[in-house]
Amino acid sequence: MNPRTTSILASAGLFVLTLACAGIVFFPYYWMIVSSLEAASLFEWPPRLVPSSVTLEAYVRIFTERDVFTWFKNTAFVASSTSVFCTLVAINGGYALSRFRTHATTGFSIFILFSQLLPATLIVVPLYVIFRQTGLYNSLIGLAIADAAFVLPLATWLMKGFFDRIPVEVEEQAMVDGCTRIGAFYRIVLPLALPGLVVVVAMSFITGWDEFFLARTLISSQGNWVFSVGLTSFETQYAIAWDEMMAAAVVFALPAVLFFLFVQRYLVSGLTSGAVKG
Amino acid sequence: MKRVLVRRLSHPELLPLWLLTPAAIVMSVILIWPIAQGILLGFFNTRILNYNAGRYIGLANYEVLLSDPFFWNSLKVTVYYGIASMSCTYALGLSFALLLNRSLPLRGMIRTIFILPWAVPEVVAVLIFIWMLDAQYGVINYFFVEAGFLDAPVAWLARADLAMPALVLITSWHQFPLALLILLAGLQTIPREEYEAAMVDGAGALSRFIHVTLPGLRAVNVILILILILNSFRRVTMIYAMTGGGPARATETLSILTYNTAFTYQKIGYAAAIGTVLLLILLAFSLVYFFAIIHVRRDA
Repeated sequence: MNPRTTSILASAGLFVLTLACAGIVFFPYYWMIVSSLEAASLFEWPPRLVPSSVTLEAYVRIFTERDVFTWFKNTAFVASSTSVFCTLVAINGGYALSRFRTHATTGFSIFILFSQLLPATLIVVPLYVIFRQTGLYNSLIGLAIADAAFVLPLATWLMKGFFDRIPVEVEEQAMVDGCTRIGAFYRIVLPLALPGLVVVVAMSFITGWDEFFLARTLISSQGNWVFSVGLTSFETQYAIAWDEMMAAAVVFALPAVLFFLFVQRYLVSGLTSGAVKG
Repeated sequence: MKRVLVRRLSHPELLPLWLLTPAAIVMSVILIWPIAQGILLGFFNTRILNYNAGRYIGLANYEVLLSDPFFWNSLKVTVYYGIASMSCTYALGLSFALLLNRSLPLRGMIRTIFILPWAVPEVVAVLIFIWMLDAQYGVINYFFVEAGFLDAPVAWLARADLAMPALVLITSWHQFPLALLILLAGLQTIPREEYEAAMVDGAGALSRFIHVTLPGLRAVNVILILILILNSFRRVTMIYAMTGGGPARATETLSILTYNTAFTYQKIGYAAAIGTVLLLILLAFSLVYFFAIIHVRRDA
């Protein structure tokens, strides 16, 4: 065989290997979707890798017989509040970190790094007590505030990165034209940072949407359950209804995955550039 | 008088302070204040039900801790989980990064498929794997039996020796995209000329990997490995939803032990002491992290 043929064969082999790996990585997704659509019983051995026939019954059941609609509503509320709250705070902080170099901004940057080390369980024990004493316990707004605080350091840092890419001359020009500093920020710089703003909105929304641990601890009544907490409650007296559970999992995961795909390119460059630069 | 005050408060030098104030307030109330209280609670014998009746007991919690077999077990589990999940996540991330770091048909689409596990909420990932690992009807058991690794299906999550491997499996499935993306970005900083020079010298694929790729990734490796270990020490949702620390405390990391001690056994003070030990471990690791970064930077 000449070297050229060998190299083509090697490339083809590696391509097939890559596809096989992608298939394995995707399999849990496939299994979740297939299990939610399977018309026959899931409790069979050997498991049917391709569904015998497909039905949406499980989806109908979770919306009619389970509280999925309530969970969806609560989760949407918590995620939106987290997102709005976190973004409003992060744009101001991120701008300060990007444009000023004072003791306050340096100290804040160090705290942002430090906050990434705090063990959530140590925070949540006193937080539970504080929430009980202040009446924030078992309230969706309280949960959204806690979620926002947990995602705020990362959101502020991402926002700083997006502001860094906008030249300072833009504000200087606006201030020459008679804008105040703060006016230049809100009216000129912020619209330019819109793509970054969208990323922070989406990222904090996803975090609030997915969050389980704080919701499990800070929410008590069933009417205030968010999706992640409700989803783990699918056990019946006899067996776990896996088709319903997987259908609910699909409904829960779908908005998070779509949002993620929408922003992945920006989010990924924001998150990885720091690590690569050191 | 009022006007003077307004002018002073709107002094340009104070602007960064004002801009940071909302973030500082939120983070102080939800992160710093509870952490401070948590560290303090470690010196009290507080229980959930009589929160205000907690008494100062000095280092008593820490003395109990030193002779508590569950604490030592938990420390061992934490280290085991940290090293195992880091190794598997890193190995998957590096293998897939190497596969993707070439010109490839459908590269964008394949890359997206490889990132997808990261997009799914942790709770969903856990439920899919609990179902796939089901003792009677689980598809993973089916594959393993068909492939001859197992004689019969096993109850992964009910066996103390198998729960941790199952947990590492799901952790690495969910987390490897982070490693993949960071390593892929790192691979792209290695100049093509170095590979060409190695090929001129007659180096094979393996030799190029050892002498060009691995040294080129050094800076990224140091940071990535520490991030993966720190994340594993802090991880709660996945472990809590998957096993709750069981069976027989086989997956009870320090994070989970803190939570269970507070909310299952209702001993807040003791839980806070355990959490504080975890915080100290994380701080020690982060010091290593910073020194590693400085060291790598100086070398570069």
